[in-house]
Amino acid sequence: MYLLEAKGVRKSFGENCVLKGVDLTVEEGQVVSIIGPSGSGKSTLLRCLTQLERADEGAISICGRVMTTQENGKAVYSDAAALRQIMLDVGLVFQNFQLFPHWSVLRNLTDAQVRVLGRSRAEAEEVARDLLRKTKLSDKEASYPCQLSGGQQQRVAIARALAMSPKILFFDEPTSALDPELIGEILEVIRDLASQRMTMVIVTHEMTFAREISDRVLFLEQGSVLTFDTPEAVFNDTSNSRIQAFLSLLKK
Amino acid sequence: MGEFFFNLINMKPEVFSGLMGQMAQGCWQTAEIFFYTALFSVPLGVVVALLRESALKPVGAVTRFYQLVMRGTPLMLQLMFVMYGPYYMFGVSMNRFFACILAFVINYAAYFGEIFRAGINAIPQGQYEAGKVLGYTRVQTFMYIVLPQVIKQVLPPAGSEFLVLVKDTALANVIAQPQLFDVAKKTSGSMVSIVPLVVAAVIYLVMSAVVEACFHQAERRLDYYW
Repeated sequence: MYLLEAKGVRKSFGENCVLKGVDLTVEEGQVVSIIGPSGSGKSTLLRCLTQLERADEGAISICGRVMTTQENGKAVYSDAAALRQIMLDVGLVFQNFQLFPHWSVLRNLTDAQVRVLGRSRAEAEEVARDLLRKTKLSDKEASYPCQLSGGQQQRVAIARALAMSPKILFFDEPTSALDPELIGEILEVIRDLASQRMTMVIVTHEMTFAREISDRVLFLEQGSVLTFDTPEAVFNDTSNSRIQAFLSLLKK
Repeated sequence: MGEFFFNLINMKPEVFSGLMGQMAQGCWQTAEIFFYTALFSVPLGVVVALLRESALKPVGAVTRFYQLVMRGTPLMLQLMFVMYGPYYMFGVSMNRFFACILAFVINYAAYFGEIFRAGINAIPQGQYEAGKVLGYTRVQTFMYIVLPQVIKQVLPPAGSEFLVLVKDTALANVIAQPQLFDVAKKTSGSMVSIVPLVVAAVIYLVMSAVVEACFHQAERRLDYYW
């Protein structure tokens, strides 16, 4: 069963055509990495899928709910109630965390559960503490984001997304804002989620990690899908000079 | 000691205590103007900031023009206009205190609008996006996530604006609204003494110090993040 189905997604910013008809499918429990050079449209694709941008064209369904249909060469969005329901099925982890600085770690994890999902405070705190334990942050629940390292902040951000019980979790370059020595702890958390069969779509520059963790890798270039295949196929495809050039550039 | 004091200011004790009674009343009236202006102009300032940033271009333009008029003409003249304008134009007499508060509120809301606008624009777009993907409505995102951060951001300039307001209340004199400056001016004239002016100055300074201390305390309280 596909948790995410996107077909022919196009997006332009004025004259600048960023996505030129992208197809992507994600099965339940799969991890899909989106790689490609900067400016290839990876983040824009993710932002269209998470409703932070409106696609110009394309049919997108998430968790069995229709987000857009393609009609007369335009993306037609479903009504607000349907879009909101899709939003609740989706989690997103930002490159620069975007924790709420005025709230403690615990409040960052509980507030939306209470206010958006209507859970009781006790229930929300139980969920939050369980996630903090899993992300090894139990001793930080009373801390404020500014008191944490970048790696800890990103782990809180992941826990915050998970607290809403999303069916699919998106990551927008989750390690790009981190010092090299902090990247490992984030990858470990994501690896852990993968082993629990969490459905995830990850935009990343960590090629080794993408290769190790992904079921499918989508290579984007200049807004088009160059290839969408298993990591072995993508990374070993010596016949595709564009991918090889990109990968060898990263090795330097 | 007491005798020395009353000799120094050249005033009999009973006259001085009578003066202080009047001053206290004026002080209270000034505090009322201050309080009501603050109470209404701050929330209105948030509204002004939001209207100014409205996606509807004409709304932003009209708001900007309102702010230009409020900030580009003397507050003293605006007080006169609100107090006497309705009478000259429509024969409607305004309640003095109401006119006074109204003029102060619409003037200060224009300034607070700019302060809040700067504060709102300082909050990264990502905070709105984080609110959205977590399922908060736009209103919830603004009220619970953005606004608290804006308040921390605007405390220094808003505190400064409040200090200006303490002293601007004296402008209410132009529409004969009783308040501290009015008392000081009248008593100084009738007593032929500088003492009422000195006392008024001290009272204004103390009120300012109280306001400053409140903002200082508020800033310290919000010091726990960033």
